[in-house]
Amino acid sequence: MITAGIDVGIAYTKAVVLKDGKVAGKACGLSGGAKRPANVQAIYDKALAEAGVKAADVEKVFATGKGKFDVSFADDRLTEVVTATQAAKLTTPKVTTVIDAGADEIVVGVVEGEKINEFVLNQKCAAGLGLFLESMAERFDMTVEELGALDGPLSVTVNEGCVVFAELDALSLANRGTDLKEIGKALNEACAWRASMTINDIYKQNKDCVVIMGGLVKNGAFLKALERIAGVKFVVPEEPVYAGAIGAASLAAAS
Amino acid sequence: MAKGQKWETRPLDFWNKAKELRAGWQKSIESKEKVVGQGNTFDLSFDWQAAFPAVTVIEDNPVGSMMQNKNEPYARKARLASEVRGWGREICGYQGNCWGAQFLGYIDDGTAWPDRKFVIPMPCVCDQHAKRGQQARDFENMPQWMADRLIYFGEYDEEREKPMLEHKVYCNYRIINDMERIFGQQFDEEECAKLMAGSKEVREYSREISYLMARTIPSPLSVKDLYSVYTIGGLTKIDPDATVQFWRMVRDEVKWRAENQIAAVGNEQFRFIEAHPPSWHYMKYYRYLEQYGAICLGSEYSHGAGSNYEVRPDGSIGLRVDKTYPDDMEMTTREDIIRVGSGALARPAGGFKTNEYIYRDRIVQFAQFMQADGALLAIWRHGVGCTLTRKEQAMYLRDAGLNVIHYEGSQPGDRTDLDEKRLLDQLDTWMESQGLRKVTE
Amino acid sequence: MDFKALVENRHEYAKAWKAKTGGKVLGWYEPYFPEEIAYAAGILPVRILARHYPDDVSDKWIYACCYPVRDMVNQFLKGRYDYVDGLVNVEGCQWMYNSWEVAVNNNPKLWNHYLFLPDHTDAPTSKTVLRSELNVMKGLMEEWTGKKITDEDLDRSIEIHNKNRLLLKQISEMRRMDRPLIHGAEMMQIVLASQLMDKAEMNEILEKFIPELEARKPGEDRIRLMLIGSETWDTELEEMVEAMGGDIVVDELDNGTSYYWNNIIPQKDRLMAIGLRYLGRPKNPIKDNNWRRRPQHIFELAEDYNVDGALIVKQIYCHLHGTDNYAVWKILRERYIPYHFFERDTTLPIEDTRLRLESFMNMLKPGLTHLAGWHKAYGE
Repeated sequence: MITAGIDVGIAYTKAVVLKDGKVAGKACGLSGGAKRPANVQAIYDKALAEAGVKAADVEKVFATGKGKFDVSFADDRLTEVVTATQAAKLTTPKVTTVIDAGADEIVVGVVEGEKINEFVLNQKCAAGLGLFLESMAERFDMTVEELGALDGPLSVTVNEGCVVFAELDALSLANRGTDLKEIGKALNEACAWRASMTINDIYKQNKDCVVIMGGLVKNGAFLKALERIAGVKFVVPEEPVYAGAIGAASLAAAS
Repeated sequence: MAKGQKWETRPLDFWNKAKELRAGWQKSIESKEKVVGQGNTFDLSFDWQAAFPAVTVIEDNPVGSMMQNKNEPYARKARLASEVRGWGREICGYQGNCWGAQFLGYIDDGTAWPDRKFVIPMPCVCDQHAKRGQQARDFENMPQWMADRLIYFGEYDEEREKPMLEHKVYCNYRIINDMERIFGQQFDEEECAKLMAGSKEVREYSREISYLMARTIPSPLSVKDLYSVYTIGGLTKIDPDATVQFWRMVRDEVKWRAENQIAAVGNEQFRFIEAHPPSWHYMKYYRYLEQYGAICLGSEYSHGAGSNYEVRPDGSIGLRVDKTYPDDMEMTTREDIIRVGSGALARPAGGFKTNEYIYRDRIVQFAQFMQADGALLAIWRHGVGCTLTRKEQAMYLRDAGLNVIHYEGSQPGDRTDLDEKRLLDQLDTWMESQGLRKVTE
Repeated sequence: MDFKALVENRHEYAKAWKAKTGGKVLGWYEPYFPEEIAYAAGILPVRILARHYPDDVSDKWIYACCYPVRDMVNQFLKGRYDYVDGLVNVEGCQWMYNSWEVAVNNNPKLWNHYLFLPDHTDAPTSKTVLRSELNVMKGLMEEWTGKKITDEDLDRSIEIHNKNRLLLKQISEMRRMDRPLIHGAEMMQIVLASQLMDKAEMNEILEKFIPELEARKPGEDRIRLMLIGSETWDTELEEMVEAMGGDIVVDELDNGTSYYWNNIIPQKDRLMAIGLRYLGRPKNPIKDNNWRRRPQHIFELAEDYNVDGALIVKQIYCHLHGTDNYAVWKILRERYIPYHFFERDTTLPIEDTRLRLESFMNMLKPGLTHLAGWHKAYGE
């Protein structure tokens, strides 16, 4: 059976073609703002090509993510927490908590068997941590990967409650000649505190097996800091960025 | 209840009557012959101003939320007018709208800002309420009075009640006397006694309606329906006799619907509660959730400010029976009347900020009373009383087995921070995470 | 005396006090808490202070309030106040209430009490209500500590607290001088230390400190500023002002002048005497709702301390100061007192704040006669 999942995020769109439960093709590209429907199609076509199948061969397409309604050809559209949970269950059947840390949102769900017992989304104040880190990297003339490699003991701190204040703090420090790498460490740390706040927003926590996925996972320093602050050792799936799309495709197969 | 079950549903007869009464209210506040004031003494549980020959009262809260609801650009303009004069963005949206409107000099429909002659802020049920009289007074240099919402924790305590009751009666007495002195109007004690009786009757109807909504499956009325008539006689003050008649009509219709299993939501399969007012400017989410068979039964706020029901010593939940003065109590003096009107208890029997139980057990009791499966709790960035302890309440509700989510906004009268798209996404997540999907017919 | 160190070591101080006396420590939140009664029961009342600690727990419990309130929740959940035996709150800011309530709910073993102090402070019946509530609180404290609070205990406590306020005011007088002997940051640390330490001990420290202070040589001429707004419990701002050649010579804060401005007038009914002091103290926004007294009081302080300008600093999400700002701006404008308003959060962005302060002081400077040496005309 061939199904597809398309996760249309604010920053990136990820498409996956699943053939008998295995990833046969995948593609990722910029979501593209106003051009999103066209970009979604192009990314999906790329995934189909990699899988060596035609659109007509795909039995069902499920979409997820903020831009799921831009997938005009989707058979169903599901929310992120449902697809992320499915993706986590595929690779880690013992999952108890799933975290999807994307560009603009962090979703945390507590899973018990087939059920999602509780979920939380970040508060608006903690929205866009991924986008914020990306924009700060650009401002400091670093790549996202370079920023993500900055960890270690902190010599300065920035506000962890509000990215507007965090940016002001960071720029103040830069203006006073603080090493940009030191500020970078502080930014990763502050975002990790804010993300930890969202994880702690779950009332009945179960941290036995926490799977984390989404674009923010690519920032190693952030992830390391988050593990330390939240006191959790995360399980990162093989394809953390594609996880939502895999979950959607898998649910399409099961439907 | 069985999933997928369908019930008959039909439009409400009292809907048009409510519309007519609201139009009447609008006319009454535009009347030049009346002494128009702002605010209400929360301590007097009846429509006291009608005992003066020509006094009427407008409340900030509905006026402010109507501005937001009817005219978004105007509401933004009004809030900006208040912000540039110093008020913080975190103040209550109702007040931001109204205070800005004072300076603009006109309201959302372009008519003049209503001229007010006095102000009585609702005391400290919310910090913002306690402060809201001052601005009106500063602006128009009118008389302002103050009172207190008296609270203490723990069981009722007669010793503590005594001075508090005196304080309450004193504040109310002073307001009535000063009103007479300043505006040259005679307070009609006889009329006042009549009004109290009418208010009591309305309160009983309101309790009965709450009970029918709570205990009947399918519920005969959703809070969406209730809110369309909710303010009549309270925040939207009309003729006291018409108020009694109207609420009798609502009660009769709701009772008939309950007896005949006429549902508010034909595919009811998920009952949820809220806490405090909804986003008045965006009530579309009620209908949106109805697509999932989810019915909103309201909040403690919408059910007599939490005073419509009570948990009895044996654990059962039923309509509240207030401690009152005896029905045949002789009322010869003004003080007697005001004393009775102020209630037999200093600490309010229900309502917000009453005692610790409102924040702990009471939200759970309310959920049980409503036979709710879930709770949708708004958390607002501005104001304070509408959000106080809301995060914590979710924990108690979760312990009681309810599925709870929060959504964020600015304040029920300010849509700035309410991301409508995000709210609907969250609601989908809420429903889907429980395995519920939209019912398409 | 290093008052800053006293404040920083507050936890150690309270723990040592407990170990030494075997007494109970009571945390208090609202500035209207009558410490006198707790002190008379042999309790050490300590103010719960906010600090900037990284926070990843408060969102679960509380939403959209100012950072001090969030941080109090944060600190309690992280166990930084694990030595406190009880917590008391007074009718006041509802976010403060929420913070107290979260702490109490998370520590069911804590003794706790909510004191109703009328928001309408002026009615004759407000006084009797408060007196009755103080009596209830006194009784509960007696039950908790097992110690009967006698009239003598109350008299002694009132005397110590009155003395403390008097000493603080005496120090404050030295800010009124053309060239103050004490600057804003140090003054605030003194007030904070007074809210944390055993008052009798604090009084001894202050009595020794005053002659030292009087012996100080006046410093250079400074721009005289007033600080108005939400409470700030660190002195980062004051220190920045001082580093730029200014000085906060007076404030209108609950952990500033409002804490020590008025004293208890003794009377036979001790509880009534205490109640009247709190009903009659300089109002903070929540208690200033019957009539506007805050703006007038602010103006009087500004005149009295001859300020060149005022800084109004509000915590983001401080709804009460957000509500009062209008009236404060209005009176300052009407009296031609220059002011600068800004909001702060957990951190004080250095560059942004520096730019604000510098610009404001640069704006004030050209017109200030005392900076040109005119104060010498008064014979300093």
